[in-house]
Amino acid sequence: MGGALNPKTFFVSRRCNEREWPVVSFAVNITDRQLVKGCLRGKPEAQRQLYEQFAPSMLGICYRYTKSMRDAEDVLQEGFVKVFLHLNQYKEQGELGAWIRRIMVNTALNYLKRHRQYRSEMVFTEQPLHPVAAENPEITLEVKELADLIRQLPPGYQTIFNLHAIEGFSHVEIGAMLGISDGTSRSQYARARALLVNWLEKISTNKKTASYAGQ
Amino acid sequence: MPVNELEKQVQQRMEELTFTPSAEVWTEVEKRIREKKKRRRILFGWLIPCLLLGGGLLYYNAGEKRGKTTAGQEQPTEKTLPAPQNGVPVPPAISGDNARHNPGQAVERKEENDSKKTNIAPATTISPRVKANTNVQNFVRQEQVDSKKPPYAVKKRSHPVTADEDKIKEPVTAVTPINESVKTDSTPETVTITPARDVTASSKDSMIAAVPAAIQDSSKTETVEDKKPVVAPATRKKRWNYGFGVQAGSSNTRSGGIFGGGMASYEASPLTNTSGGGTYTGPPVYIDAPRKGVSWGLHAFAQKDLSPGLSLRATLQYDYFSTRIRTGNRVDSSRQVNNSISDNLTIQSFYGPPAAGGPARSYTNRYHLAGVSVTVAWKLIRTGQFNLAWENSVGLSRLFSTNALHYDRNLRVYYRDFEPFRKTQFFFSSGFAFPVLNGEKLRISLHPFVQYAPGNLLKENNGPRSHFVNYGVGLKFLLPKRK
Repeated sequence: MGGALNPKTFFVSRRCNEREWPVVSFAVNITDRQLVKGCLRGKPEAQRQLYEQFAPSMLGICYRYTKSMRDAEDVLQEGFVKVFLHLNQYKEQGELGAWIRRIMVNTALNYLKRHRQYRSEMVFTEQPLHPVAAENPEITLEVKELADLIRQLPPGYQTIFNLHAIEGFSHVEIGAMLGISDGTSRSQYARARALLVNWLEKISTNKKTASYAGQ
Repeated sequence: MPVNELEKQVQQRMEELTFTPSAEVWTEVEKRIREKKKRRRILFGWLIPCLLLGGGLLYYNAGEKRGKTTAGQEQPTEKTLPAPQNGVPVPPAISGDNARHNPGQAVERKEENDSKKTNIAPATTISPRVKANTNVQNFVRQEQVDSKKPPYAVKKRSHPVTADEDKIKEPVTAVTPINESVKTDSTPETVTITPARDVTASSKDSMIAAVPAAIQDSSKTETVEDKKPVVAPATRKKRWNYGFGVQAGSSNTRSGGIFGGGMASYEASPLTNTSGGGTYTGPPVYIDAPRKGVSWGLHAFAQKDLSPGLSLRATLQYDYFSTRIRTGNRVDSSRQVNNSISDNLTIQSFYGPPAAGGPARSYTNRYHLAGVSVTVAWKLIRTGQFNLAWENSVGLSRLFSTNALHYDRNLRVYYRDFEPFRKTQFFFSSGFAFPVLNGEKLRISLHPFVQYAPGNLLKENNGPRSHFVNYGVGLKFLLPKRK
């Protein structure tokens, strides 16, 4: 990918294939602005509309960070409560979706830190740096299958992979968010990536074998 | 940063990951945001004023208890009375000499070593043979007066009877029973007293009240008169006092804190061509920040002194605030306003903005509020010549009318819309109180103050934040104290 992937600009520029589609940050969707206005006035229909507009994609984000759909819906619920209660802090300096996404990611991280089933596994130990694997296997999985594969990673690896590879946070920022050093974040990410690459290659190999067998 | 193809692919795929949440999620979200908003309303609308009131009442009660405890130390309690002797209750000593003595009447007195005075309880016969265990009332019998004998026998006084002692100050209502501890080596005293109804006018004069004194050791020289009944000091009931007040000063709406201020600015006119280039459609306009205006208020209050240094006041008030802005001329024409404050509002008239350097008119934004407040005043200085109290209050007011204008940047007009205003305003106030006149019929005090509303003036938080700020001087007239 070209260009710096800074979380501040991540939600401003969107990459599609190899072409960058810069989103003009001040051109807030007029619909979004009216939606926000209606929500701040406490109009139930505006709140419902905002929820329905963003909930499906936000649930996808929550799904990637958790181990079950039930946990993902819990995170989604908490996240939207925060969105509505703090909507007055949205200053129209970026897209509304990006602002909500940031809240959802933070809510997911807090959820992982709070709940016992995740907290015990969110242990990031200092490990020797692992070289990032250069392999880029072709992804033949469906979207949900890929998400489930990522969710197979141990919670610590899963979180760091989500934050770096998908959300675009730097290792320094990830270190600050999780209370670890950037070196630990790099090492954990490298191991997560290596594991994922390994699984993708195996899946690809198995599929090829199955298709040959079918022939 | 992810630089590999894998990360790119994963990122693109994950953008497409969507799920439909279950219906319960929205139900729960809606319920929780309503609860939290309701809790906030309760907290700021009711809880804080209630806490202040409760704190004041608690302090008041504590003050009352302290007052009662201090007074109670002087009250005669059962413990201070002599302990019942052999089951016979001992009434407290009575004041005054309720004996009447006619020095002309020959009175048989039994000599005793006891030098105490005695008082008469008329219409009472006490037989010394009656045991002290018996209730006093059992002793009281009506007997016919032996006309030959004086109706009673009294102890011989060891000292001359004074004029005061001759007078019966008040009828005796209590009789001290004879107690064995009173008995001396001498012959027990016999006291026979004529029943009241048998006493004629003349015999009244001849009666000498001789009631055995409270049971005492014979060695004591204490007299009955020395034992005055202890009367508990009357507890003064703290009452509410009422009054009214007026205040005048200056008010403004400020962005930011109490010392913050709105900045006046220029706004460029729209371009003729929005895609770049083009020319401005007109000169820039001057967006005037509100300037301070006159404020005044009328109050009616009830005040109570919780302690010598603390008082509580509850006030019902009407307040008028105003600010001034500069606008252009009024135009009676309809427009559709749609901005972060007003949503698709059709206005029938508006004011244009004043052009920079051009003519402008002064417009007064007027705000009318009614509300209640609770004030706690600490008396910092309490001398005879000068008193000073520091007052702090919290209050809730309702904005029930205003003609204030909003500015629409799209249409570049000033227009009226009451709906975006936050109607319920929470105020803090702080100031001082100086008594000016302390008359019998009226007390007047001077109250310089500063008042601030922390809540935004507008409901819409996306709009500019502004808060009421008001400062001035008040005069309070306290009506005469109720007796």
